[in-house]
Amino acid sequence: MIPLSHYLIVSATMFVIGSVGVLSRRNAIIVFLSIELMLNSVNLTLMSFSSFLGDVTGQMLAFFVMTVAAAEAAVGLAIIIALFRRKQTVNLDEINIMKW
Amino acid sequence: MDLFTILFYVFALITLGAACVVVFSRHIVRAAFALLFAFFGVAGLYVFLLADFIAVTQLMVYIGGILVLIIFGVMLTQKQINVDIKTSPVQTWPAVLIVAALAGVLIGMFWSTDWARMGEISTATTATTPKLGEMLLTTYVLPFEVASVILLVALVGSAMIARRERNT
Amino acid sequence: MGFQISDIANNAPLFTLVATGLVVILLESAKSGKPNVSFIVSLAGFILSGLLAVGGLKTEDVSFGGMLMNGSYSNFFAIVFCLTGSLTILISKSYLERFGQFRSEFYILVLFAAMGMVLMASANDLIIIFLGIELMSVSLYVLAGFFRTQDRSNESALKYFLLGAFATGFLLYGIALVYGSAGSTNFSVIHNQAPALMKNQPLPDSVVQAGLPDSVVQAGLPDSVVQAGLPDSVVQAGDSGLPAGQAGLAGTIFLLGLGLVIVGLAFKVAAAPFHMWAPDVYDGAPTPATGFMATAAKAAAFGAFVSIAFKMIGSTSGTISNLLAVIAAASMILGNVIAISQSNIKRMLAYSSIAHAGYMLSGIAAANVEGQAGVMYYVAAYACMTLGAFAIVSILERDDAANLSIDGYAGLSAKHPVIAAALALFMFSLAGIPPLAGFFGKYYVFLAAVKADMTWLAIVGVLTSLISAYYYLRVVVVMYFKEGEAAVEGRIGMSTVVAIAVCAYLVVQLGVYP
Repeated sequence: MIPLSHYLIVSATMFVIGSVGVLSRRNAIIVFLSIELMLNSVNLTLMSFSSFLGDVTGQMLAFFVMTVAAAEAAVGLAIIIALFRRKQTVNLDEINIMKW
Repeated sequence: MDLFTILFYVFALITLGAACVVVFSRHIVRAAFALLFAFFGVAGLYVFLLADFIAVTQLMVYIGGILVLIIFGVMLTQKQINVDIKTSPVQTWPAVLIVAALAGVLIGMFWSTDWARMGEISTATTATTPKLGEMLLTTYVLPFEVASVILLVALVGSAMIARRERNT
Repeated sequence: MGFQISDIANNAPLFTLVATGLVVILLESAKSGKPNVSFIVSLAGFILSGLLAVGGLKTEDVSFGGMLMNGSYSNFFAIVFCLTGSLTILISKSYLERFGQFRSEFYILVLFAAMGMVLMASANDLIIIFLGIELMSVSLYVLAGFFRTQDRSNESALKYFLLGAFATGFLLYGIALVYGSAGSTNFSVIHNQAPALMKNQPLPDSVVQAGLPDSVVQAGLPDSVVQAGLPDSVVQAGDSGLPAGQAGLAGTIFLLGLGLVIVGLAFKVAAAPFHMWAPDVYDGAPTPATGFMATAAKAAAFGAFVSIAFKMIGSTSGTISNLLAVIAAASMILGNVIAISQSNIKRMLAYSSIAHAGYMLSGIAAANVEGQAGVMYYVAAYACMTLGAFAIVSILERDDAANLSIDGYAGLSAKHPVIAAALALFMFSLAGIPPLAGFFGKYYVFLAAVKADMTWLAIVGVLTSLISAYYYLRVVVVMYFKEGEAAVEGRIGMSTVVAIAVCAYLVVQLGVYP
């Protein structure tokens, strides 16, 4: 039987990998992918707690996180595409009218 | 080490390895496809947690929906695909330090906690689909409706932002 | 457990906003290109919803199976959101017309953002806090990028989106940890367990939490079908699934989770050191949207903050209080000091809003009744004065987003004495000069801090307010004592004037009769 801590450590590692991506990468789409990784790790944490607690709330929350992630993905990519259409770049270093 | 355990670690490794590729790859398309494996690995882990409904939802929403959306995004902004992305060390190092500290705290904490009472996966949550469905329409009816409003706003908003200029 | 008709009646302001939003969408699709109709309908919706909130001030109730807590607190915030929402709409009309972007989507998004805010303020469950924040944020990302042909607006949207989503990640991870250690997302349940979880932190051998159905949690082998048939109530009753003997570490996880939730919310209120997005986003977004973000969104995040601090944690623990106090002090110092060097008025107001977030946070850090009341008063006062200032900025802004420098305001008093006087009033109030609203806000908040033995925080607050007087008054000096040709582009919209008048009236009114 896999203990709860293993699930939690996998998800914590994934969360941390995602945050490294957000903080170190400069391409808007990669930053966005890293955020998706973070949300997935949150879901994994929720699901592990939910299963080990025997409580459905965590699954419910994970379900809503997925819905919201889908909505955010739509809006985020729309913004990226609108910006790209104007600037022909999605690289955050080249988006420099304002300081990052 | 029974088969179950080995499979768990295989899925965990797939997930984390793919996550690393997503974050450290210099190629956007490769990163997007690595994300597919990460999502898939997480779905596998859900199966280990006996969460059938969420595992299927993961496959359908993330891989079928979000990932396709992302690949569209990558394709539409394709001129950038092969650009080498330079990361300035000034910003990277403090970030790595903070994140390493966070990782240390989290993993140390999870590792040292004795989850005696939560030692086993409870079957109270198996056969989740009917129960989730019922709860979505009773206790969680408000969050359910709010989630639908969020999707509506996302629809209105992204359609407005991404469409081309009106010919007026 | 499920939902009843009375739940809708109890949340009338919320449902009025949804209904108005849907009506505007339908009207827009039925006969496209009539933004005037949307403007009037949304304004009416906001006013109706605000009136319903005033009517609901007295009733205290829990609805939707413990998801929402209605009462004077949530309705107070609903009034603030409806007020800022309707003022934003008034300001936006002539501004959007001037930029050729007068479209109905703006009103739809403002309405739904306000709905998310009302949810945040009335939430009694972490799920609702999360969904409310997301509804608000998704609308605001789009509002920031509303001028989709403008590079600045697009960039501001992208920056807001990426950092906002990043903050959401932290918030959610925090929520997951709190859920894991407390076994629930409901405020009332967590509130009951918080003292045990917190107290257990130094002492691992602790009070055994009674009433744990051990069998449910322990006996559940994966292939046992017996447990699956348990009635819901038993499953739901499993509070903290953590072993009482190990609650020490559960306490750590709980605190870490709370810390991450606070980090996530601090991003949303733009408190230092999580403020870096604010100046750029405020600068790039369309001015009415900026005003809405700086006031309503901040008020909503504080609504959630106060709920979490008082309803969920209850007696705030020392650790959390100290964390909040440090964030508050950092925001006050950083916001005020950097604001001095700003020459662009929108960026100046952005840094000033960071500083004000710090003042309000010190009220929450104080964690007493005075602090809560002080924050509520401050939120209302701050909303009026900042929105008024942004309204005036929106009048003076020109096509290419030029004329945002403070020096461009030179000579305003000669050309437009009334506008200059109004801006001066807002600046005096923001600087905290009595007897205006801004002064009493600060007074109450600092008083609460002193009562909570956080005198140092109050001293930092007073000192930084003195610094802030410098840059606020500089605007007034430039307007009145410098020669220049500040000019208003085109005609000033009637609706904007109304909005400014309402703001000015409230700033004086709240100040004179606090």
